[in-house]
Amino acid sequence: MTWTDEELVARSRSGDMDSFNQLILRWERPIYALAYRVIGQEEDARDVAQETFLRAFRALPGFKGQAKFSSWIYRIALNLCRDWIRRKKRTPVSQVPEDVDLSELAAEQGPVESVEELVARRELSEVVEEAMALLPEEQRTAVILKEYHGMTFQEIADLQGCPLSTVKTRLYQGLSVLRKHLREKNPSLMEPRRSGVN
Amino acid sequence: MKKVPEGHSPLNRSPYCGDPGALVSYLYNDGSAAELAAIGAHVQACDTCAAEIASLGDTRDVLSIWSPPQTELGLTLSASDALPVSSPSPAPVPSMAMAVADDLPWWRQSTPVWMQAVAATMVFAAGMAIGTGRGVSPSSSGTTASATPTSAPAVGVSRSELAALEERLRGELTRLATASAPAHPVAVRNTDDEAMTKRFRALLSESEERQRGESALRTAQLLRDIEIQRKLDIATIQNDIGKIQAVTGAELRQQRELQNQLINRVGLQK
Repeated sequence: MTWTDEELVARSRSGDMDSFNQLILRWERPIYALAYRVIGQEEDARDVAQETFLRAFRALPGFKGQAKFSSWIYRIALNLCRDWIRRKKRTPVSQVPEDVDLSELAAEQGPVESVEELVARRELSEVVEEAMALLPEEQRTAVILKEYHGMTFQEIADLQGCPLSTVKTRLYQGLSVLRKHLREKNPSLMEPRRSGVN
Repeated sequence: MKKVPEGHSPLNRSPYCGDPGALVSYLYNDGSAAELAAIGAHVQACDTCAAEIASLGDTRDVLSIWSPPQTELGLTLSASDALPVSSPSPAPVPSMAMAVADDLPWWRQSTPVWMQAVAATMVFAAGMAIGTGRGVSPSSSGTTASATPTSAPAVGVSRSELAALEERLRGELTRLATASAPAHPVAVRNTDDEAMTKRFRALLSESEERQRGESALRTAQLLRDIEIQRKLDIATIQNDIGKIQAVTGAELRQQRELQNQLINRVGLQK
């Protein structure tokens, strides 16, 4: 039987550790992905994810379900990311692993993609990381929450504690900066065009 | 004031034209149905906005390529994590307890072994310095002891002993002052001084003995603590190494399998 987040939270609050571990299992990957994209460091992102769940667990008695569990945990994670950035006092620099793991990429992509395509994809991914690192923290977070976590403008506004219009502006400005950087780095991929709206 | 894009006359200008909020709403299809329909109608009629939407859409396509590394997370919590943690966990993957170690006040964090060793050395050196200082010359030691009666407990001579000594000295002085002139005053004074010096020396040597004993005992206790901590650390490190070896072995196995898969695929494609 699959429990909802709310049910698992209720069971966790009554002392059921397994229920909370199920919540962790359900949310560890998105929280880690969020932390990684915001701070750009693999190990630190893992630490942030761990710390997020620990804080949530300890704060569980005070969580009355006024927000969704996911929103609550995203907020904790974002606060920790912000603390991390403040502590490091630097713009996050995306970490590009030294070892080229083509075999892993190949296993993920399927048989139609050639090694050249895999390398190109990897290079492009690095360009995106670089471009993301250029964005101010608020814009980067807004883009990440929208692009990779599929949140609504309202949810992002709630998490960032700003008006909805600010979220839209941050997204537009963020996307514009990313577009410019991607065009510079890879002109063929980002050729301006005048049609093709979906 | 909103900037009108090139090629737009005020006559065909829509409130949505060039509006970042409207463009982003349309791009992500996030807004009320009526609003999205109105923006859509404008985009159909406006080449500039259509091109902008298309270009931003291309950017989004490229962004979708970026994914975080596929790290094995395996986070879990135990009941003990609900309680405040006093020492870091020795797990190879940074544990929940480790993650909050930074939040603990410094006096609640465990003291490293090297710091304990330094403290032990300093205590030992201080004890030795006090003992050596007192042993240099009996006369100077006597002066120090009588000049600092308030630090008696630390030095080793008790307050009551010093008080008794002072009383005895006062008594001697009074007796000498009130007594009739002695036949051999210098000889009497010399005898008293010798007795006094002997008494001082005896007290000092007693105190030094006690001090040395206490220092040795304290040092032995610290050394024992350090040894226990060292053994614990070694056990923890060995445990960690074992876990790391297990993880590394599994990863290597996985890598080999993946490489084999890749080779097979490449062979099939050829």
